[in-house]
Amino acid sequence: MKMVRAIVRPEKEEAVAKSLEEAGFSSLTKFDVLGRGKQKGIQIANSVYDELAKSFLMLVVDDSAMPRAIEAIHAGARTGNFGDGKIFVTHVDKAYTIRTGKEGL
Amino acid sequence: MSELNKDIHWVSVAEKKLIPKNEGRKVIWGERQIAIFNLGDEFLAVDNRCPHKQGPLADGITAGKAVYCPLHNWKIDLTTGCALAGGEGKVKSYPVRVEGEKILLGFETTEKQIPMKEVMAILRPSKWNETKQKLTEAGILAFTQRRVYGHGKQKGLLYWSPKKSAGNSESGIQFIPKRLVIIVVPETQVSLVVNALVQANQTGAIGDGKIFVSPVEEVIMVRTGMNENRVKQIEEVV
Repeated sequence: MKMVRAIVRPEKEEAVAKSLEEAGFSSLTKFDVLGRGKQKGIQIANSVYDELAKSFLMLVVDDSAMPRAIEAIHAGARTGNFGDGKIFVTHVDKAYTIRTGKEGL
Repeated sequence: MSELNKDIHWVSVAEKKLIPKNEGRKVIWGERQIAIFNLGDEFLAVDNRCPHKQGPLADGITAGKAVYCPLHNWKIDLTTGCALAGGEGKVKSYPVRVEGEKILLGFETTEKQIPMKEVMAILRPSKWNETKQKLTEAGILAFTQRRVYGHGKQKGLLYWSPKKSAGNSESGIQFIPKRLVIIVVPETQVSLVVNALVQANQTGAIGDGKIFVSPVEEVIMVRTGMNENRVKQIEEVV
């Protein structure tokens, strides 16, 4: 299993949720974060915005489904400008459903 | 688990003046009982149990570099720990170093690296206090938690609306408040954490949450900058 974590524009959050759902990924966890990327935030005239509001999305998928999940996030979040965000994929050894106590997604 | 290195760890266990010449005294260090003997010009140490019937060697009478067990008169060599008379057997002997007034014993230590795992769980917010209690009971004291929103396979809560047809995912609460907990523990404690989380959060109804276990490459303590996933264990004795 892989954990896919994406930092996306907050205004694109719903579009990503929708495109993930259409791709068959119904589970999703999100929270709001502040952060910056390589561009060190944004500068408008004399004001520097060091940390920008972003939305952090997280889901765990099967190894084989991982490329499709990334594609779906990409489709929902991309605008082509700086600040579209990043996607990180990490390994997950095991998953448990608390209701049943059983292993598996 | 891999062993990184072995070295001798010196521990101050007694003071010279507490052991009269040509006598032995018992010291307790951890789970060990060790007999230390003052032979005048040097100190020697062995485990305080005769290989025969676990007699307390510290109470025995010394003769040269050996001691007679007070129970059955076995003669034990204090430098090697081997039985010289009475029968065959061996007790552990310890290297001894004297520093000023202190007597130090050498223990062999091994550093072990235990792989660390990250347990990430999405739980019911209402069960958080119970979860904390269960974790504390299980001896898991460190965690990071935050409020998140999300849904599982059921795509959130759907409610019946007279205007829209039921089952339409547009009418309902798509993102349900949840609690995200992150706990990093050695591999050996993962089952402990998973059990505590399941016990505290299992109601049997949909929405109890999920637990994910992933590998962690490095754990570094910020205060010291040291790698934390190396557990130093004092193990075998030289």
